[in-house]
Amino acid sequence: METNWTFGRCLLLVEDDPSNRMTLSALLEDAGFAVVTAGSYSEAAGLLNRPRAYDAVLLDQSLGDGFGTGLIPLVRHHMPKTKVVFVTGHDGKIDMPVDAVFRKGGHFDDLLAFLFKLLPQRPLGA
Amino acid sequence: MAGRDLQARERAAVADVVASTLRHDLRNKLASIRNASFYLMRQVKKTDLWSADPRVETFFQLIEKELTSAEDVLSKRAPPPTGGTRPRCSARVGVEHALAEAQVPPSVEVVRDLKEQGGVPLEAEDLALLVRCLVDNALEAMPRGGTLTVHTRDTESGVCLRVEDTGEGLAPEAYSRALEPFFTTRSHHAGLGLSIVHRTAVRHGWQLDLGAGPSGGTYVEIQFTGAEAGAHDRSDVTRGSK
Repeated sequence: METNWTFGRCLLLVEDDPSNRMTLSALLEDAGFAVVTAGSYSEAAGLLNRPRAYDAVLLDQSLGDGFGTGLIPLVRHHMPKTKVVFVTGHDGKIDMPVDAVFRKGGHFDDLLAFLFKLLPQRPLGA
Repeated sequence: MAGRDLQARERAAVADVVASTLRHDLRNKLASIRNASFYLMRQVKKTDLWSADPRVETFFQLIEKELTSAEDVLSKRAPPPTGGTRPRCSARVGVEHALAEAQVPPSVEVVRDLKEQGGVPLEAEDLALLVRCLVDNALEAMPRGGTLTVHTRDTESGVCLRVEDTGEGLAPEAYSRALEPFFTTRSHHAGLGLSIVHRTAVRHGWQLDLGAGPSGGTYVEIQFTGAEAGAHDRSDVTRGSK
């Protein structure tokens, strides 16, 4: 599943925890995604203000210098087709205008299956 | 008696924020370990070591098993209270209770602009705790005195509460962090008050707004929803009007 459907797809991973950022981006790249990372709110805002065709933005909520929720309007404005996924370690109800929520700590294979369902499927060879 | 009850609720709310922050931070660490372990396992599987030493696979399985156990521990929560009627109180009862408990210095003028008629979907003590957190925060922002204003009004969706100070306000970058646990711009402060309010608002689905007021100070506004506007317990209003 991995190399077929992930090829050519680009994700923006916004995560302020360096270990999480490093390990998750390594796994996503290993699965075939192109991954751009941002380690803070301001870094992510800078990237989002220079629109690029991200298939999805994986957002952490607590970013040290701001909240991930504050970035959602930038994604919606500049990249209306991009999916927004909250990858959060917070417990409790998540009531935010995102396309999906993934609980941090889950298996990577679960995240991959989750993204497979979320991202629009492309015709073979596209 | 009421003061002790408010203190007990404050301690419980602080413990809730601390526990939640710890759970979040630990979950971050566990996620890193799990992802790193998974990556290493996939790489090692490509080498001869995987078949040469069966303990390698066993140890990766052990890491996975222990991570799952640790996450189960983190996820264990007290069951939510069940049954009973939905709480509801008058906003002004909570406001007056909070103001009575707050230590307002003589240099601060308190302005009450309480115009709401509707109810708030909380017990009065819980609302008082929220208002107390906001009031304490506002008072701390005005060490040289000023005006603390508490507004309440009815809106289409419920009741709006706004607490405003005339302090120096926050730096622009601090507004985005002010709701985080342990974030504070003042020494000797835990930085939990606004976080308690934020957690409660998120839990109930209320809108919380924080920003600079017309004086340059800070305001925090909560839009309570979930209680029928204008349908409050009349006895609460009578007490709150005193």
